[in-house]
Amino acid sequence: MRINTLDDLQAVKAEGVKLTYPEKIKIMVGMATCGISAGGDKVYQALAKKIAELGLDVALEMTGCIGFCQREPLVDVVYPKKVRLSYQGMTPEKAEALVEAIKENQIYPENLLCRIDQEELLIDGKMKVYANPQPVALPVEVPKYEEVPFFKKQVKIALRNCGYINPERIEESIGRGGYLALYKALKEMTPKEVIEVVKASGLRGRGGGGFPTGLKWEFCHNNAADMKYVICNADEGDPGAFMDRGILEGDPHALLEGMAIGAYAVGAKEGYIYCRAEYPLALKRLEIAIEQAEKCGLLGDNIFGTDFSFRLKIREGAGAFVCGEETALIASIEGKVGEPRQRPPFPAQSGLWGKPTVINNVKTWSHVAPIIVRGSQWYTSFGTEKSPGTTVFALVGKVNDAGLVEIPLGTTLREMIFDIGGGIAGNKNFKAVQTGGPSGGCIPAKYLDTPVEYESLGALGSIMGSGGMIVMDERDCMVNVAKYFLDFTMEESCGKCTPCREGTLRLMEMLEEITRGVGTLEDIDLLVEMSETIKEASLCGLGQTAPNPVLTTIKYFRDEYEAHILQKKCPAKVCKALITFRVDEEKCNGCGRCRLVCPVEAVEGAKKELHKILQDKCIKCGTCFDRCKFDAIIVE
Amino acid sequence: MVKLTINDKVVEVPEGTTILQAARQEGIKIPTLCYYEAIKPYGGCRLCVVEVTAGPRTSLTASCSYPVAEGIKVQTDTPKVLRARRLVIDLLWSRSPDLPILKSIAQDLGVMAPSFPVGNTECILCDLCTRVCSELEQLGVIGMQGRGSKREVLTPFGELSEVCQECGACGFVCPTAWIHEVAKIQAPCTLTCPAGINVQGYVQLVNQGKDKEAVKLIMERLPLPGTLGRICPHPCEDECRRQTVDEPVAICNLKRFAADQVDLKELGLEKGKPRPEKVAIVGGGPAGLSCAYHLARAGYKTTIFEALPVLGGMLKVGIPDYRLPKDVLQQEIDNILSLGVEVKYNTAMGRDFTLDSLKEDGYKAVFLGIGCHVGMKLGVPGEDAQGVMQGVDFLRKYTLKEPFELGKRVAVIGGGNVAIDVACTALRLGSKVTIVYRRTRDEMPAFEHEIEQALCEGVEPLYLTAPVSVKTDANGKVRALECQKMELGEPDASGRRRPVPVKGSEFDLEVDMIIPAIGQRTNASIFEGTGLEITKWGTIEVDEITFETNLPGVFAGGDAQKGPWIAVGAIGDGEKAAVSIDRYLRGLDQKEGRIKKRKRHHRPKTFPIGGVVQPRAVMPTLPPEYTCSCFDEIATGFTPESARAEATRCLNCYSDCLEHLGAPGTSAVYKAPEAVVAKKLKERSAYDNPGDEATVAAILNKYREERGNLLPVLLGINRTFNWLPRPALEHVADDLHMPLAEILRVATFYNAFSLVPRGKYIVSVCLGTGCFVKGSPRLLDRLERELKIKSGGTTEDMMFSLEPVRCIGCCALAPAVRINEDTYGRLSPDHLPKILKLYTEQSVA
Repeated sequence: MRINTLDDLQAVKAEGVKLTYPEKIKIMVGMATCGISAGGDKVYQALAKKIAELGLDVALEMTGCIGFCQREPLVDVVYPKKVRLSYQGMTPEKAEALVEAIKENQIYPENLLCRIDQEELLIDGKMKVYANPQPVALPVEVPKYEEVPFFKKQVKIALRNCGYINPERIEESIGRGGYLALYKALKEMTPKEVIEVVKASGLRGRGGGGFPTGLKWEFCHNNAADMKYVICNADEGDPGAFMDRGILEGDPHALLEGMAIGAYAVGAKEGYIYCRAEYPLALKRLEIAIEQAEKCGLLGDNIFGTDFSFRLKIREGAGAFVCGEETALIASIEGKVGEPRQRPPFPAQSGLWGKPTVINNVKTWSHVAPIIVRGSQWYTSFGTEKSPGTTVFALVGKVNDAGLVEIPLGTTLREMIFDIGGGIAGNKNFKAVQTGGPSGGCIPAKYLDTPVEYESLGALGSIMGSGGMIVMDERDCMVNVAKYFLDFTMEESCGKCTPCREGTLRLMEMLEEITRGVGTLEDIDLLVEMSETIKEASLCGLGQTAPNPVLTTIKYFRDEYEAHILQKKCPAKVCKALITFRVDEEKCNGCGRCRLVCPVEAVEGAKKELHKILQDKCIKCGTCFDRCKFDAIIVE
Repeated sequence: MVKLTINDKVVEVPEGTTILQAARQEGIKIPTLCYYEAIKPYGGCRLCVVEVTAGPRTSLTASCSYPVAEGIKVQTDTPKVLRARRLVIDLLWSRSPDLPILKSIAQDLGVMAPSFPVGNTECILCDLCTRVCSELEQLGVIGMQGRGSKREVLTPFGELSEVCQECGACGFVCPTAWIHEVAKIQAPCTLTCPAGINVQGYVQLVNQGKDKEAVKLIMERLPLPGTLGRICPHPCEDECRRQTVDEPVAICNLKRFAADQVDLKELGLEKGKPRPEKVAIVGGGPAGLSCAYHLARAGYKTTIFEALPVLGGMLKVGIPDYRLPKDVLQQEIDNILSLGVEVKYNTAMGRDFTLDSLKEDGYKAVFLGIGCHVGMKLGVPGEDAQGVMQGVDFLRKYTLKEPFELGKRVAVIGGGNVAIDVACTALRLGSKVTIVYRRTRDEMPAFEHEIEQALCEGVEPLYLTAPVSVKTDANGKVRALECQKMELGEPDASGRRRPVPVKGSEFDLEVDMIIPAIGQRTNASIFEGTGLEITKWGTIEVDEITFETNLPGVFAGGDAQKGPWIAVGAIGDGEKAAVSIDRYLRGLDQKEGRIKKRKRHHRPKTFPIGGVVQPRAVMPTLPPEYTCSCFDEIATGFTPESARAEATRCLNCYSDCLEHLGAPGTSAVYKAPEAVVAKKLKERSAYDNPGDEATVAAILNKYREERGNLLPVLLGINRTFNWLPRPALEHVADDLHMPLAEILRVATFYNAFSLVPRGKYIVSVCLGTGCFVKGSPRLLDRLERELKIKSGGTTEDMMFSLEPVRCIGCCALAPAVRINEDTYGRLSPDHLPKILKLYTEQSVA
């Protein structure tokens, strides 16, 4: 099935379209890690069993994550030429009922999330319309996809195929326009022209620095060398971010194609995908994708019958956050410890094994193909002038609707959290949003209308980062949050340079004292002063950004620090040394639940009588608070 | 050339120069800690930061590792730079408050006291020692292990290293002297001395004018300081680091100087508490004397059985007076005897006594140090003629004043020290002497200065000449030596060019006496029937650490055990055997804490850079016109002035060594030998299961062709075994030809790897931010409580390992815990006991 010509590609595409949009009913189950964790695999098995049992001629497929993690397991049913229906929060039992409904030619009415009447074929610049000319009427009331707040403001470029195709079939990827951009680049454009398009698109690295991608490619292109490399940083180490995983598990070919185009542009013959070993499913799907692409001749020698050859290898990262730093990542691929080194020389001059190397992350690579096919002008129609296009965030924390979202740059934080994310869960008050992970900062409510793009977030002391967005509410202690991030960077510091290794340790000691109520006001000033110097003096990006969570929390939530120091209180009631749990005598009815769940027998009191928490035994785990149905446990 | 601006001044330097080098060239002071000129810059300590104000990356940057570029502008002492340097030194000083070097840099930068709670380590993690060991010395003995603040410098598994060459390079580059302590580094001279003398210590004592203390320190190991100070070939000097500046320190001559200043009777050597056991020492040469001396000091009654009428062995009957005056040796022997050592002269083994008879006479242990006193034959026709005499026999007969007929024209055959001694002795007795040697002067194994002396005195050399036969007259007396010219061919196994006969070049050397001096061997025939094991080279077989023979209680050392070697080696053997005998008689383990000192073959490339040239003191000598006709000692010894001046040339490597090795006066016998970081080459650790080796081999094969394959290999092993077992790591090191320390550096850096076995169930608590804000630390606390282990630990029954993870990729289920493949989401701490129970029950079932 080697693809050499445009006709070959079109033939495979036609095959792929048939698979993605068969003429019979097709059921799709979201089976990325998030889906599987939520029980998607059990739902899939139940569906398969029931379909076989009833002998239905129904296609059952797995797909990647459409982004709405909060509502997993997600099951989609495609009725050809009619409609596609999305079901949320499915269980094996409901899955069986769903199949039975299909057998009866009925619409299963429960757990419906939305109806999809048409979906975008991004590369083709067309819509796949299910029912023509009018959407079909349904017996139940279901919102349209574009009406669901979570989806409404999203624009999917990097995630264009996630949740639409079976990621383990290259035909389906090609069916939705995959590898057309590679064909166009190789056959119709010079490397220089490819670089010009990417430069004109204004695409910036969707990682920490936001460096213009086309410019980076150009540096590498201009460096004459017998060997060059392209690398994909898929080591997604930012805790609480899973954008890369979403793409790798949902549409690995988007990455492969982007890398092949990049390799052509810079003159590389080999590439590496450095992916964390903690993503076994992503690794598996990548392996399958590479094997299939090689079989089709879309990777390997003489791609599309041209002189261009490109081999792609996977290298597993063994777990070190610092390997997100490009020089450390290169050292790690070389089989060494992931210690960064000083730049210059930059990787584009001297990278992997001393050769010019371009490193971009998964998201950046995934933007390349659409830019090549649709053009830079199309791309710059999204986003802002300085930050064109879209980016993917993992929106998590105290929002109602957590998930993977792709938004045009310039969307405000408020839109992200309150429109897409559905606001704060449990009727609590928003307190802060953290972007950029351990390298970023905490942004308070008064800046909710800040547009999400590189410069605005930078001005607030945070960064875009790779795409973690963690929403916090009134119950989050900002000193504790700073401590959490610092603990992370301290643990993940490679230890090579003094300011990062010793400095984070000392910042941590001071934060710990504050959360124990033994800090001083001078400590706050010292924290700021040291943080500033650590940022200036550290060797790599890790140390240069590690103090950001400390600095931003002090900048925006200084009162919380002061409360810990002066009143010896933790306003959010989190820091154990500064809180006590006691029973509200008014509300307690002696049900005994708290006594039962207490792991240390710190609750006493007979059934139906007032309970009491023994302070000398209490370990402040909060289980009683969680379990009391009468709000009778007070935290002070 | 590249032009840049440093502190507003335009500077031109060659391409490839670093900012640090360029600045130092301009006399600008930039402090450094992790920088050492001879190895690649690291840029870790960040003390050398400067501000690049114009260039491809304008920021603070480590000047040591920033290559200059055209047009960049650099400021070396802006407020920003100073602020960074102050923080760096403050952090390091707080970590290691007792280090003078940090204090001095700190105070230069205006930091007057550490700002943070102080630590107590002396390692500042500059990584210099490990980098120099792997990068420059190519050894990789030590490596950094762990990540971040958990970093530490270690040998693999914290054990004595099997690859360490004791070169001391690490000690040289360590800015804080910490590694000296850890690696117990000794100066190269001390390390090299076969008798283990604290060489650096006595040189320093001479430097301080403490000659008596110097001799006392020498005599901890060596009972014959004046003797060895004259005749030792001083291997210590070959390793002396002063060579990097000019020439080695004249260590041996300083030993002689010290010994010449001191009356041994006044030393007052301590003796241990008397012990009842008697020990027999067979042979009164350097090995036997040394063994007797150390045993006597330990309180044992020792008796030396000497075949000759004199003590001293080859020192006495093999070395002429003009090199070693007999009274010097005799005084030192008398001093040994004064410790209560008895001697039975003219008592030869096999003739006058046997091993069995010694036992019957109540000797509880025996040391055999009979030396090599039998000359090697030439193997040419006519060798048994009258007028042919072995070199060793010649020297002995002369010393013992035994009658023999001296030739008028003498041919000495050989190029070693014995040949030269024979030649010079015969010359002094009035003969005309020719040395016949089959290679050239350059290949002669004798000391250069001895050859020079011999030639000056009038010995005739015949190079590239080999004997073919001995020609005799009618009376069977030597008439001539038939010789053949040689030429040098291809190098042989020893690296010297092999002499090849030139056809038809035979000629006769008219002589009336021929003295072969081409080597000696031991007379092992006397041990026939005793059961003593003899090697195929005719020497006595011993254990390489204890010097015990195959017969319990019988020990051997010196030339009889090694073949002909140097006196200081024999003395070392005698001392080591004495330690063993002491332990043997006390019923202790002879081997515990002792290691075989390997021959040093690695000379460190790391040397101190720079130093003021001060030529080596020359030993004053009597003129050859005078010495050629008498047996007066040629070398007259240093004056006190020249000795002190010479001793100041000592670089005092690792300056605190003198203190380290202890004050003079502790007994060598009781002291365990210094634990140096060296160990005999060890076998690889055994795998637990026989099949494991093949499993690891398969993983290695899978990634064999991949570049940088260490990480995939380790991941494969970790995945298969659930941890990284030690035999597998050693296997990988062997297979990939990488130092084990390097493998461990990687294995301890990444989160994925475990160096200890893990439980059946891995309980991963997600500490991703999504889970954190929803309370996952509470889950971790509860699990610690339930499993009664700390985070990162494994339960005693190997059931559960508790491991916080960065993110398990299911934020919508926060807070979540994963147990092997199963994910549990939206948890409260009180859910956990029930979940754990599922697994404990499953395992029971």
